[in-house]
Amino acid sequence: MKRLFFAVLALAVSLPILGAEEPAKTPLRVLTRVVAESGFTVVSNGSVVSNGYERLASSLDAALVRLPRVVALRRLSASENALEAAAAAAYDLIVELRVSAVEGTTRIRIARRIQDGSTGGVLEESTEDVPSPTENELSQTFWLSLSAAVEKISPAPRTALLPIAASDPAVTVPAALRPWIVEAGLYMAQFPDLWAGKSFFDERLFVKLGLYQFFGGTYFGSSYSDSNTTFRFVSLPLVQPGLVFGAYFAGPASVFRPYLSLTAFIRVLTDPLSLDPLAPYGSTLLLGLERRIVPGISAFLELGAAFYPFCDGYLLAASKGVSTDGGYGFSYGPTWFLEYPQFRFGVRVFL
Amino acid sequence: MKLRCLYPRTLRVSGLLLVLLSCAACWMPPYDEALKDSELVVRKLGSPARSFSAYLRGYETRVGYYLPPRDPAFFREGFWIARENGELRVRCVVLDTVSLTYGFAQNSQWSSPERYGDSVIVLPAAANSSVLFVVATELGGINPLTRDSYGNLSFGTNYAVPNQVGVGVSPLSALVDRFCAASVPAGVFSLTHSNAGSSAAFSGPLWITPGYSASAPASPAFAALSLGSNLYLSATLADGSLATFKWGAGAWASEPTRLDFIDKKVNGILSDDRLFANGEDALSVYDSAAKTSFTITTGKLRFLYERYDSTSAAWVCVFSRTTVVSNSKSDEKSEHRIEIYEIPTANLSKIAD
Repeated sequence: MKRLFFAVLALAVSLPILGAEEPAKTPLRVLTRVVAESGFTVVSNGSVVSNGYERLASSLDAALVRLPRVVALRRLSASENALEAAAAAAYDLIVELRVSAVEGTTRIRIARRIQDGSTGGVLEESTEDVPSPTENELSQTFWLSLSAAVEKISPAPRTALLPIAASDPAVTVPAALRPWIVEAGLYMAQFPDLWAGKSFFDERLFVKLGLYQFFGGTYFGSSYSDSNTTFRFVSLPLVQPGLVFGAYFAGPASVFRPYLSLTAFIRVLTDPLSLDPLAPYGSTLLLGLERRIVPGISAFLELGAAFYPFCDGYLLAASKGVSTDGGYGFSYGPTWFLEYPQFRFGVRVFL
Repeated sequence: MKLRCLYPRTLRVSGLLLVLLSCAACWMPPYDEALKDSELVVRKLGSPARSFSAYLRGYETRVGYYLPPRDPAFFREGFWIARENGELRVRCVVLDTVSLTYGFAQNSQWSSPERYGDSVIVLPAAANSSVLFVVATELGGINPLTRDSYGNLSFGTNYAVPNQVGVGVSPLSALVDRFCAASVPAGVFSLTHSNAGSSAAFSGPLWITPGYSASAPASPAFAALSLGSNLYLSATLADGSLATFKWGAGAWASEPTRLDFIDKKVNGILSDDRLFANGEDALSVYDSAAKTSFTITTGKLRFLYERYDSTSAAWVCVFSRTTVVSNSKSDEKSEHRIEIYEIPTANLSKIAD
């Protein structure tokens, strides 16, 4: 049953990777405008904001500015002529929303129009009725379809590159928004760990430092007979500081980001401080899937295996003890030990 | 998107976490402190004197250790000693002549009739590979347990002393051990000793009445006469303190010296007159003359006994370690790796922590 679960989990993790699409590379400069045609509501922290114009508009800007293609963004004022503003500072797209309440319901109607900034041609136009969004939805999922539409649009190439006015108040998007990473995980859903690092190449590659630790964790097996185990908590004098190398298969703007990470660690015994004589080194290869919760914070799940080279494989296998690890497998040779599956999940913060 | 509509997000997230927690939760990293400790000592000991596989099955394989006979020629046909909660169980390891593998003899198990505490000493006879001495005050003294060719166990003639308060054993020569029993008949502390190499040949006994005015031991004591004719008593006294006393050779009638540097209850004497406390995961060795001590954290390695090696004409200390890679079906016989290590007694301090 457990093996079946892990097979399904592996499939679930790998599917988004297979279907991952590369976003178009052409950079975009975007103008936005939200027009409120009647009063409408937004739910914020449990209370209803009678006219959520500002929340809607600012969340739209935030969603678009996170797209890797978007290199500049400015919100139009109500009185500005959109095409003139686009022509004056070489904006590629004009995203305009007209919002109104749907009579007799709590839903709102959003009519959206995306225009080519240089030709004025309508590239995409749609109207939909949706439930009044909450603050959380505005920052996470509400603009997903619009973001996807903007990602796919290809505006006509400009025939002449217009100079950009020095006074242009557009937001300029930095190449890497949040290169620093701090994450807290739960290895095998039992042992907390902590890692920190930095990403490179448009947040596609990352390096992290941190450690797996077995000082404190939980254990709910039935026959692990060791004096260190008490009341479902387990403590071993073992920490595994390590270095992680990894690569994402999707850009930082994607809500779901599959990735692969390789961790190399040393096994340090703390009493007394020394390398584990049976297996001084180890590694984990984990396939992960990251899901953005709010901008800058993601949840992740990783699945893979642990490999211990240059060790006494037999003694390491014997170290597994006579326990109820029925769902977990291992293999070993004279100088290596492989344990599978291994997994962890947790929360990752991008700074 | 359809999934999103069918299942609210909180339900999806909590469901996933629940599945993960229920599946995980019973994993441990490949780490065993006792095995790690034993490996540190084994690396100092070098290659094993003997290493072989045995297919063992039964609950006691998880709590016991392998005890081979004193004669290296019979190292593979020894005893399995399991102690748990003060109970002692003995099984025989024999060669299955059909499969040509080593394993437990059928119906060979012997269990102690009562809880012995930690004072029981098991020692293979020096001159007979079929005999195991079970030495315990609670069992009335020194009991030879003999195995037949099928591995069946039976008790021989018991060497008992009335009013016992302690027992002990020490090496005397290549083929003879000296068994001792302390008693307090009519309020006078006395010690009797008898030599034996196998079950049928207890000699003596000889009686000693040492000078002793301290309180009588409150729990079963260790009492023995060393090869150097020093007399030792290690016990918990009536006031709850742990004490080890020494009477020097030829001065048994005098009051003993209390060895305050000994912090554990002693349960053996080496041929060179050093005392030792052999525990579940450590061996502490005390030199009563120099008042020094050292500890060997043995972990899964178990100190067994001393034997006289006629080849090198020296006493050697013998250890065993049993390891097994667990298979998921714990009821099946598992291949245990049994290793026996030796080191000259004179070099014992070289494997200290």
